Amino acid sequence: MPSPPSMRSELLRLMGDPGSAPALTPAQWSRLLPVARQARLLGRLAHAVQGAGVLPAVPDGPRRHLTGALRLVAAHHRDVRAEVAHIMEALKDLGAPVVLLKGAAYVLGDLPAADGRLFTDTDVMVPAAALNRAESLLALAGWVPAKSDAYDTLYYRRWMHQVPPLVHFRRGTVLDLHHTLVPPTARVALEASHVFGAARPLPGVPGAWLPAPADMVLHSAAHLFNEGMFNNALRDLSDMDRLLRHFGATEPEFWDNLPARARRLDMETPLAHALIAARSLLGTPVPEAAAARLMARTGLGPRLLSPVFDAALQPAHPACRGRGAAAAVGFLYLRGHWMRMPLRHLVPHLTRKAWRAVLEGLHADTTSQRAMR
Amino acid sequence: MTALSAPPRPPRAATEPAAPVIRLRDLPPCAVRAALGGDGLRLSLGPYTVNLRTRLPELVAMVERLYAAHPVAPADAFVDVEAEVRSAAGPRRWISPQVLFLRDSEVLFQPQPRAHAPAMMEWGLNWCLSVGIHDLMVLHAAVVARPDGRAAVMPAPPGSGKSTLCAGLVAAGWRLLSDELCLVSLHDGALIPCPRPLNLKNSSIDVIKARQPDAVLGPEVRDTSKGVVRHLAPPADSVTRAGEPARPAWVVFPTWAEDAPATMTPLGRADAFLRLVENCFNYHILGGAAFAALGTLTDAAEPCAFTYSDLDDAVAAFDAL
Repeated sequence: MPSPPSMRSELLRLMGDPGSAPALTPAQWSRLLPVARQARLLGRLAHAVQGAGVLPAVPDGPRRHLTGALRLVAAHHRDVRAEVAHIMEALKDLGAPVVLLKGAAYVLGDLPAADGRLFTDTDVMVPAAALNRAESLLALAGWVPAKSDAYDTLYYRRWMHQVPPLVHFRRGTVLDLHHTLVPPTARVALEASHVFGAARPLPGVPGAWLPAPADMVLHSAAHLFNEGMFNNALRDLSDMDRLLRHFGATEPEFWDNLPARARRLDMETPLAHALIAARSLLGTPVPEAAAARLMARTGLGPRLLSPVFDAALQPAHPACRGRGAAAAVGFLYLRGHWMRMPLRHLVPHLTRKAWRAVLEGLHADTTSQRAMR
Repeated sequence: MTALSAPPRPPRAATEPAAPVIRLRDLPPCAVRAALGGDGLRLSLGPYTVNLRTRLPELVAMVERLYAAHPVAPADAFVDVEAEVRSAAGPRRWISPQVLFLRDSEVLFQPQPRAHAPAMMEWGLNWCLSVGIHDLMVLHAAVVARPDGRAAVMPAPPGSGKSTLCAGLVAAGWRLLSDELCLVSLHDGALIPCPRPLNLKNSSIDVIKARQPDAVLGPEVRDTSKGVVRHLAPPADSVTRAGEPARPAWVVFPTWAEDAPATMTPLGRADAFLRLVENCFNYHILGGAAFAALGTLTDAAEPCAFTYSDLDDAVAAFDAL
């Protein structure tokens, strides 16, 4: 058995040098593809191998998985574009900007972070003042709140940066409607108006906007490094790597502006975490001056925590995640909640969730009957 | 513990004969059990290789019985699906134990009662092979072929008698390609066999037992979402010929109706196309490629609706196609 970190390095090495794909043995592919799938990076690996022009030289067995992943990615991208068109049609009379976030922004903005990426939902943001109207317009067009109990609804309404997830009654697609990038209770003093103020109109889609390049990076960093959800951590880091490389090459003074922007949005710490991890795992080219400016303000904290994040950035596969990684993910989950809300809210919330998990365990017998249709 | 598999093949010249296929029944039962409980048993299921792991004794026995004729892939073969069925941990395993199905070490589906493990294993494998890969178009349909290679595709919702009809035709000499997943090549429209145990439900279990007293059956599973379920071993000949694709000649939509005479009714091609779309697992993912492949299929195969009650009459109607 390979030692735990080696499968992740093998995957990242291949993604960095996709031209070497035809040299892998079937046994190596058999070990690598499940890890890539668990890391939600199979599509991106396939995209890289295809981009290197060596997909036809990959043996039949692994090639069918890479080709299948490319088909799945193409379908998801089609769906995201269609979904955004539906959302914009529903919100055409909103009278306020609709900012596309995360994957939707990457696809509609034709950014390299969209390459090989899969989607579970669509994220858009409208100003808080337009939130109620946006919800009404979306309801008229078929988006209704997903099934949730009174506590969940209250929790979202009172403490979160988005309304409870909306589901389209016919297509079953999920829409996350945000009014800011981070929970209002979070220990981050972010002014949503700054993000709206810097957003850029999306060419060809009236009413739709994309966050400014730096804000896209910062949102992704805050999501991964503050919120403590590490299910797709390596994929999220890879998104950031691609955004940083792309904007660093195409946006004038991108690296000069990024640390200042992070300071303005109170996101210097998550950005520092992101740059440390992206540099060490993905070789992201970060100019020394920008890194030094940022680290001078964040102090030693991000460096001290970086081994914990490194462990949590292991794909969720037993070949990668040992006990250390599980402990890191657990610690960061709690830290994420700590960052998200003050202790006087956090303790009752986690107690409630734990109690509900117990109740659900007791009811599992009846629900499991409905599991497989 | 190493994965149980045939020894790696040495490099050989193209003219040399292929290495002999090793089948599960060629292996001693203790070796099968050790592999399933260790690094896995590499089963060739049609075009795919599944590395299966389980320590549940009822599943080990079921694999030995129902997959006896299946080839065991060599150690250097590529593995398409890593699958495992295991007991759920936690204190409730002492009160009402549950089982989990894992692909690539990820738990799929809700835990199921331990008694449902055999059904869960087969349904889990169906899931992995139908929506997990996307290199082929996958229809929810049974496929059987005549000796001349012409095949009938039978798409149908559960409860329409598809599996019973499929089992009856197979017993009457039609070759089984699949009773659940019709795999269609996107290049030439050929039907790719993936013969696996047939999934019999409720009254069809007794119907088949009465007709085939020597049928090899898996354990009986009660109270599933589909009622009583039992799996029937596929004919060894169908498994041996899993490498031979078939040509679609008929698309038959079966319906079982009490006391109905066996009747084949021709169906419009456009109608058949739309009904096939409803039965395609990955139509929305393959997009244009699936549209083209279904077009090829409905052009090549004669579509009909089929109503029947008696299995002998049904087999006769198929033989007369």
